[in-house]
Amino acid sequence: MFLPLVKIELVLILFSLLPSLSYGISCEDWFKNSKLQKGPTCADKCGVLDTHMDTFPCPGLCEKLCADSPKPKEMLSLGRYLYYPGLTPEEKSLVEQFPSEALKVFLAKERAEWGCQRIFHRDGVDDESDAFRHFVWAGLLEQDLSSELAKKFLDAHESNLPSNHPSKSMDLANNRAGLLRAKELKKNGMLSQSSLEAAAMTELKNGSLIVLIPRGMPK
Amino acid sequence: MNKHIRGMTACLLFGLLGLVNPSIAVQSDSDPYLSARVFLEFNSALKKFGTQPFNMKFFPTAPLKIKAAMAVDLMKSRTWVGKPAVDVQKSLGKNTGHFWSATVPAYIIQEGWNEKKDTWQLVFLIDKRGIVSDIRIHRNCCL
Repeated sequence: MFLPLVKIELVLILFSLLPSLSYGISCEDWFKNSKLQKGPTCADKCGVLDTHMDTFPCPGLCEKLCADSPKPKEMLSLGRYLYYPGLTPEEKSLVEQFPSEALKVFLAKERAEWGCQRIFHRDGVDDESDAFRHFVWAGLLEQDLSSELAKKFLDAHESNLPSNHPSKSMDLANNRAGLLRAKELKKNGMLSQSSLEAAAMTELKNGSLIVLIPRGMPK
Repeated sequence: MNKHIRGMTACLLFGLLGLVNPSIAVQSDSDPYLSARVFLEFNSALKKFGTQPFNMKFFPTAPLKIKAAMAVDLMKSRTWVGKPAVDVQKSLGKNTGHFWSATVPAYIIQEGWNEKKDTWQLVFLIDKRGIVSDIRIHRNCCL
């Protein structure tokens, strides 16, 4: 008497689980087939996708389907190079859109900082080391990304400061100088970190880079 | 097994390094970016720079030695923790150091580039809302 009841209950449980399992699988396929890009507007677009008999509950899972994605490997490695709280909203948006490029951007930032520390023995602000760092970072981005995306990332890093802020103007000008020089070096097949560093030092000595607070060149 | 032995050896080595050279005693971080940076622990900072009461008006123009001693006091008192980072810059002036970007308040407290010493700076770490979450002494650069 007791055993048949248990069996019936087990069968009922299995049947009750089946629809959710099938929805889970088919909704993922339904979402994948729609080729929707995950992002801020994904859930809205997903909510109005066409459904059939087997996928009619799927729009109810849109929020989860849009958000619940495994992070790409790049996102995991980014943490080593990113001080997340220090990112501007514009940087955060670019990191979200271009995670693998963002990894290159912040790796290049580290390389520029290492170069700056190696040569200047300081990582200053508004001084020669600051100009050097921005020049080299921009040049490395010209090497690793398209010019347009490089400029987007560089501008995004400065976007928290008002447009008339002298430090922002200095950084943007030195970024631009780095991008231009890197283009020239690239044309001649000579673009590398060391050629960029040498170019930055030459431009600093010539007074072509912007320095708000001169502290002196390395001895 | 080998993994464990390697792990134990690494721990032992790092432990010994900490004992031999207390100046490299650093704060541990769960944030991967911060964990790759060198920060002085309070006791090491106290030993290195001494301490003197922080004075907001005097700090921006104070000689670096005094700034460093005041920075140690700030580390302890945690003044500004929980307040907007922009308030720090309004009170202490423009950054004289660099940590990540201009949005993170950073002030040099020891310049080493002309004396073959490390360069240290006072840094006000922020959270994602731009509020100061911690006050630390960071090695800006290297011997």
